Amino acid sequence: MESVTYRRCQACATINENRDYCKNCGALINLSLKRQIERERSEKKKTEAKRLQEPDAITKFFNHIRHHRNPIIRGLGRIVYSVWVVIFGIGAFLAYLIGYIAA
Amino acid sequence: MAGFKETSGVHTAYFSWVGRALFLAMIVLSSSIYLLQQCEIPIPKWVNNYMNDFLCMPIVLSICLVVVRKLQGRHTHRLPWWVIFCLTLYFSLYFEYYLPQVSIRYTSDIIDVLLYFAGALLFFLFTMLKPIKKE
Repeated sequence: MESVTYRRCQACATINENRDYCKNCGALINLSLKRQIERERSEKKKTEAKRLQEPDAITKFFNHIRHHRNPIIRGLGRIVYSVWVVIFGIGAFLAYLIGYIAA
Repeated sequence: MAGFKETSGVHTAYFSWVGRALFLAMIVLSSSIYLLQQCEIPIPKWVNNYMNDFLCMPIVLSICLVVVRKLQGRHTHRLPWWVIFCLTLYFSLYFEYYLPQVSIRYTSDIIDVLLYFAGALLFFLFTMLKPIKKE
């Protein structure tokens, strides 16, 4: 004979027979299922946070060449990765743009 | 990426609206001068020849600073003097040495170079300024 489980909904106080969700309000009433869902959600959150913390492929590549054994490659990596390259790039582009507009 | 100098948060907050207003004023002024030149409307000689050269570096450096601050996600950085100097030197060489050689539209003028550096110095001093603390 199959066992019967009665669960009382904490939201609307309805007594439910062999149900995970309340038949009246639809709330989750199975505590073990509730814990499992929470655990899965928490693990998913942790995995997502870990994924975000990990550097992307470009950053990994630059980190690798910035600490390369060869001093020339190391130096080049540090120059290219420097934010000043971005500034000079923007400056050079603006100079070209101004020159093009003014000409 | 590294290599920035930090300014205080108070400094940034204090100058945010002043800096923005100045930047907009410079953009409007230089655009107006350019449009007046294009429409061949007579303007004073010193404005026609020198004003845009003076405004050039503060505008360019402001754009660079804004872009880098956006990239870094920090709003308290400022450009070090050597970056400002190198960029100004690049503009001087590009506009006063290279372009006059390849285009008849451009002429070399030492005063323009001085104005580029004057504008860059003004930008540097402005970013270096600290707010006056009230007693």
